[in-house]
Amino acid sequence: MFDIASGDYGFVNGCLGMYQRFANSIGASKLNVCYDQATGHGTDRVIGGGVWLWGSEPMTLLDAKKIIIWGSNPVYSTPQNWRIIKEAQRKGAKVIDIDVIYSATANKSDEFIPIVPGSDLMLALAMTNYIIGHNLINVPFMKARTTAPFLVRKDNGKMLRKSDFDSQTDPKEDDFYVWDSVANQPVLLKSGPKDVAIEGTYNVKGLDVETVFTLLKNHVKQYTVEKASELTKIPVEKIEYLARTYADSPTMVYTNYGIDHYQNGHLWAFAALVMASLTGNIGVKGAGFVGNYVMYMPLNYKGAFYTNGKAATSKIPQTIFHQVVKDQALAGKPYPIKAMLTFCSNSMSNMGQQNVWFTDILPNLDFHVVIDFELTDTARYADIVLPAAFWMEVDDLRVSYNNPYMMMQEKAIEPLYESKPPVEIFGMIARKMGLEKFFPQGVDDTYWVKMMLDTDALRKMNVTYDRLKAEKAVRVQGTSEKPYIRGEKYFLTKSAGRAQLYAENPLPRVNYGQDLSQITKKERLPYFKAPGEAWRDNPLFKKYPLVYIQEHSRYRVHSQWFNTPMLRELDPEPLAKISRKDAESRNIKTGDIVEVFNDRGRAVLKAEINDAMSPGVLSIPKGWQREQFIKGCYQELTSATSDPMAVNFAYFDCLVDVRKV
Amino acid sequence: MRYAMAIDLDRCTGCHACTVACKVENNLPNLIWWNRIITVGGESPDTPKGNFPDLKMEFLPINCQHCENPPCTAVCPVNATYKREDGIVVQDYDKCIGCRLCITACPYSGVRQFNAKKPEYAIEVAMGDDGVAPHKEKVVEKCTFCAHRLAKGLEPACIRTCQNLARFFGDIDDPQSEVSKAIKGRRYVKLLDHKGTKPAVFYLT
Repeated sequence: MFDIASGDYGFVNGCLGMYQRFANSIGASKLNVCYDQATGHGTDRVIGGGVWLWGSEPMTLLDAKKIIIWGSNPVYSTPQNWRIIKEAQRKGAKVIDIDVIYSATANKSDEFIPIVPGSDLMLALAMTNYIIGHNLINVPFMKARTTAPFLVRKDNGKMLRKSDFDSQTDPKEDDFYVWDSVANQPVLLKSGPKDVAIEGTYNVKGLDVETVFTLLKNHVKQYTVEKASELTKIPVEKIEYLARTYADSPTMVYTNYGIDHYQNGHLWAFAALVMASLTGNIGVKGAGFVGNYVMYMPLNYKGAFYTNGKAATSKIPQTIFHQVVKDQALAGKPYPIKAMLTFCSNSMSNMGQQNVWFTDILPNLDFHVVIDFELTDTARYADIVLPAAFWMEVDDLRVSYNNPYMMMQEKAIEPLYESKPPVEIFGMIARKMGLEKFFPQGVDDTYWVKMMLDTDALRKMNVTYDRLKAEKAVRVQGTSEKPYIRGEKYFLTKSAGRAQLYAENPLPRVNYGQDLSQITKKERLPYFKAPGEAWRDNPLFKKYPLVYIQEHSRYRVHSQWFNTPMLRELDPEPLAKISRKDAESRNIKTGDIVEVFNDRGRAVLKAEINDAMSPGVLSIPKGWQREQFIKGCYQELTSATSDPMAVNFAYFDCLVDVRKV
Repeated sequence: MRYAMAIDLDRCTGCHACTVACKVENNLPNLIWWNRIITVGGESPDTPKGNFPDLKMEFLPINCQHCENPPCTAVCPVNATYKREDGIVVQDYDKCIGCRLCITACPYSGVRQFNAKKPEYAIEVAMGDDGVAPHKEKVVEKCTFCAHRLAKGLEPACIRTCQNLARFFGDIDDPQSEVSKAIKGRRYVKLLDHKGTKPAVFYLT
């Protein structure tokens, strides 16, 4: 089993690189990563593009008049984007921050709106209902760029298509029916009706249908601002103000993976993008979603990685990995896993519910190898640790996150001590396994960089090795005058490139045999699902009354840089950040040693009374390693339970209590 | 010709890129920081003051203020610290006898730091620029405005590294300098101005 995450995005020596060539050559499986997947799973329902292609280029923030930062702390987590938000603010954009804590971003925003953890979904649904109810929708946009006018069959919930009446229809030629409001009759979309109805219930050749928008409108009526106010603790007037502010387009939403970390995270993203589509706040200048901007580039994936014709993959998500290893079975069928190679990943530290490593994973693996440049928790418990050369010791190729450049990474020094470039480590192992034809001796990083760049599509874009070598960074999307707007021309959907307000056939992000029978129909529209654990109606709330979040730290990227000495002078040890109210009621003072605990585990560490914490919320910034705690670890407390659709670690969907020790 | 620095407090997020850049550029020993960031807010770093959600927090980066009337130079018995014509207050480790009168005299607590023992470093390889004077035991040291970089026509290390574009540097007598342009039209404060030190660091508010 290959266990790979996001520790390095290099196309040669990183998680996007030649390990795939090695894994495919030996026929290995790969764990399905369950970090930060829910936001994109929700956006994919509406605008397509899979889990990653939802954000616009951050420079588009400069065109926004309003920016709602929702469940994100860019000052800490994406400072390279914060300065753009700041510049937009300086130019007059209003910045509103919605969060469960008063973050450094809240501090710099024009307005801070605190919210109950995990209730963001209800806020989005109620705002949507208010926007529809007060006719703040953008009808021309809905008609032209969304599925609002599409017709849905009442008998089976499917969109009405040409093939419903003509079984000979070539699937490629199939088309959607809409209601021509001029001719007052159903027509195919491609026939180009002058005007279409977005509301109404009709009968088409004996089939009862209604428009997608009518369906949505009736569905969200249950989500009143009063109900939302009760759950979010945001005053009714404030929710109404937010809805009006948002609908007055263009408005940008800045988000990342805070809301993602609850079991209802994908539904929030689904709801937020539906709301954007109703108000014309997507795919246009000054509006959309920013936070994680990823580019797909036509590199030579097939030629470089698919040595045996296919990609290493598996149906095993990280969230159930411990169970599969323990049972050596998946969905009742034998699935032996005896050896694991971890690369670009500190899995033990980053996967939820850490104690399953001690009870289920490590005792049932015969052999575990870790390739890393830091001695992480995962590495400390491995059988063999192979020291990887650091980024500055290898040549590589990068397609940036959050900026529109492809970059040549050139090493500053040769690898120190015993460390080697990962591609060389894989090559050495591969050659011992008789795979010299895939990993020839004596080639350097440049050989692999050139292999990745060897496609006609890149040559057509004038992205070549020589150009990258000369310019170091090449803009490959948008221009400085016209930064890249996601979905400006069309969305990556199968609904004629329109934003989908209705997911006809909602599929799980990864199907490992989970039971979806009770939710598939529900998931066609965004609906309110309470967080799985961190919710006041949960009986466990009486025992563990604090919602536990693990903020992104200023000084680490997940767990990376946990042992950088200079940073430890600034930020020497883990802290449990507790609201003044919760600390006082437990007689806890700053500097006291406390135990944060629940039924899954504990962390013993120093407490800090922190007025940024909303009462009822406790935070231990993530990324600290086990040896840095007095006992336990921040990740022992979290849960591996995931939403069956998003299949994502819901780290913040977690209840704890804290006591002085 | 007088060097000055401006720091835009509205843009500063307390990210510490400047303090780390300073530490690397000048190969500062363990626990020595010539440039620090103070949180103006709660009791601990990075915490706000007030009652949730009505809170306030501000970040204040502090390095040697390179005063026009530096109290430190007046008290130094051996002329180890003195003011250059371009406004930089320098510290000569060879002359310094470690009496720390300058630390007592300086109203900006912490900008002058004393190497009580033989300097120790986290890694065995020296970092930063080799034009930086080697650190010594039992002497006082502090921000030099990166005089070694200025000599090469470069800005101090903390300026260019600021990801929030909050730090500016240059000749305050030249209206075209970055620092003069940054200050123009802006309100600013100087720390402990009433003490008559006339600092060269402008805090834009």
